[in-house]
Amino acid sequence: MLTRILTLRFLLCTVTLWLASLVAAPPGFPIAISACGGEPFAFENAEVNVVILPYFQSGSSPRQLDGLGSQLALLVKLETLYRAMAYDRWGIVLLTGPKKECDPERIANELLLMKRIRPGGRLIMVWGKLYQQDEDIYVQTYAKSYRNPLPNEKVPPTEIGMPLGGNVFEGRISNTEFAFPPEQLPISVMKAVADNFKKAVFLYDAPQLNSSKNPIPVDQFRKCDDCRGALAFTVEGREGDWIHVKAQGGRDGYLIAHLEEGASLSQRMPEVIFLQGLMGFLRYAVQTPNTDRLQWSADLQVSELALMEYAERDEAGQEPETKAAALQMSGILDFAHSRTNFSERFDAAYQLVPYSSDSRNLAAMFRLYHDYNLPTRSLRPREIANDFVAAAALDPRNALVLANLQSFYELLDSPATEVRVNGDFAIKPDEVHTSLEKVKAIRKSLDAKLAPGN
Amino acid sequence: MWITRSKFVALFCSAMAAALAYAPKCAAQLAQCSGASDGTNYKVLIDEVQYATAAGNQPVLSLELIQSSVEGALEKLRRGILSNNVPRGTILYLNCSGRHPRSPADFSDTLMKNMSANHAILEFWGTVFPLGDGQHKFDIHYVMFSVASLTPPAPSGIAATEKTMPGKPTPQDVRHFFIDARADLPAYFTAAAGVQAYAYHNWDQAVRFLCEARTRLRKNSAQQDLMNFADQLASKAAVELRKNNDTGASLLTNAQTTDYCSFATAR
Repeated sequence: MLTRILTLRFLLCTVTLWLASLVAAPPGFPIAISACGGEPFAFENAEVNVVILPYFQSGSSPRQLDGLGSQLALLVKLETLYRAMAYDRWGIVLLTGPKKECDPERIANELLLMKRIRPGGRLIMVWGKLYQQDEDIYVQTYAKSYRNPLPNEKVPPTEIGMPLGGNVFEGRISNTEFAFPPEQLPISVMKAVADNFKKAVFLYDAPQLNSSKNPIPVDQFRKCDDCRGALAFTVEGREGDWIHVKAQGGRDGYLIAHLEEGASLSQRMPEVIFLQGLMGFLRYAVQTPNTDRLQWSADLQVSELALMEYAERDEAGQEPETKAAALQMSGILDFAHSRTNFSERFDAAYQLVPYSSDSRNLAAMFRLYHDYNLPTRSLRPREIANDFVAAAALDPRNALVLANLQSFYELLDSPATEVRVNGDFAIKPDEVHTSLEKVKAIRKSLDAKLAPGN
Repeated sequence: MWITRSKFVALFCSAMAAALAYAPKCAAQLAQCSGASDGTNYKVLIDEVQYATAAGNQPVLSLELIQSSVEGALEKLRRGILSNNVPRGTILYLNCSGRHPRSPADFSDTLMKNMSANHAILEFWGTVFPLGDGQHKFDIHYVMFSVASLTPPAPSGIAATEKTMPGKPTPQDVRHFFIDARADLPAYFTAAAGVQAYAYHNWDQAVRFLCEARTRLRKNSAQQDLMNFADQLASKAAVELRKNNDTGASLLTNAQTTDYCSFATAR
């Protein structure tokens, strides 16, 4: 027993030392397993960290579900890892531990405050619940995205900047916190989860299930009260369903990341598809200066397709806010690449959440872009002004919407715009000027109220 | 037969005395819900779902399962609450084990006001009744404390949704009904939270919640009164907002302000 404890301590110390060097100069794709307790772990230099917590049992159940929850979390992590291979500069961390230590809000706050997430870096927290009713087990996943602000940053950057007539219109997606539809896990799926976990919890010497293998000590972190380190791997590449990794000491190994046997995780839990899209969106779409066009790449295409795939799933309709966000993110990615018209995605998102100011703002921006640029269309200023004013009415202190409205009135004031206006929907120049001055006054007053010291 | 004034007073007083004697008894019978009076977080009280039987009620569905369905429906509202003038605020879901009101009459005016003052927003419970010939009725009752605390004329603050079933519903049937009805929860939650924000003069939060509530309630034909009330209250909050000329509400014309949420949510 003592030998086991000493071995474990030695292992953890070695891992911690190795990890320290990893954190200082992380490779492209680091992944880790660590404990919720103590100081939570993330990869400091990654652009996007995905931190996955165990799925915990909600309430009492005749069946002990926390074991299933830990297994599910590892499989979600591996599926996310498998799907993230198209991207770069990310880190994926699986935290384990008891429920009281694995509070997503606390862990996120600590990671941000301790600068484990670098300034400007993104964090996606993923957690979930399991509950039982009769013989059926249900799983529900939640996710929330965060960004650590840059020093002295007053306003966080937006997700889209749309240059038009010398002004830039800005928008953000209508949600950063996502609830996914609860899914039933039949006995057969739970069995598949357990079977797949048994295969996934090893580091294999070759990309074959019958090759020699060593166990990944997930349980040691779960039981560790004050673990400051993590068991980390660097990802070398993907070979079919296998991920080629380097463990500490430079030893090669393989993780089985995509197990279709029994049931595909993405078929049962479409949230893994959404997470793939979200990861790509946060990695690329919001890292580029707003006015630059994104360099279209396979990475962006993977992200956009994943988001559309999620939005088209039947189950997605159960959580309209999350579906709206998927439509908006996919639309932003496509627009940033091609500048073609994807206004229908923003209109569809608005129809899902008509009470969201940010959703109305995005729909207004794309209607404006569409009408301004397409030769077959003409600008309908009254309708677009109403769109922005309605967005401001839904969230009366939404500074982004007010700035867009000001930009819109300034756009109307320019001679280049005049020729594009549909006379039936025109706003008289006097009214444009009056409205413009009013918006400026409101923004000034709002800025003064929000200034430090007030 | 004429009743003299003194007799009327005596009868009225007897009736009141009986009512007063009964009311505390009802309130006393309503099991306490732990955590309902703590802190300033918004609270949603989740009571039992029970089969009504002659021998006494029996639980139908675990509170945890109900809570999970509720959290899924309400999680989305957290962002709106957190981002708007409620520092570190969140929604607490309280599993009120053993609590199952017999009817909305179990809630006295005082209880409604106390709950509202303690930031309790919503409470709900479910009951399955036998109707005869094997038929059963399942109903879910909701109490919106801030709405129920208002002085009349105002919507009642009590809402219900029900379904008649050809046989005794299984827990699975009940769960499906909960899933079907879960769109009601954010609607009632936002209505109650909007009314409370209005009462606290938090005007911009009030218009946000109330316009969201009216949009969600529009799909519920049984709640036209509540929807109209949310509309009117949002317009009143907008009038207050416009006084300072420092928010987007000042951009609306007088006509648009009269029907504030209609303008803000329609396209």
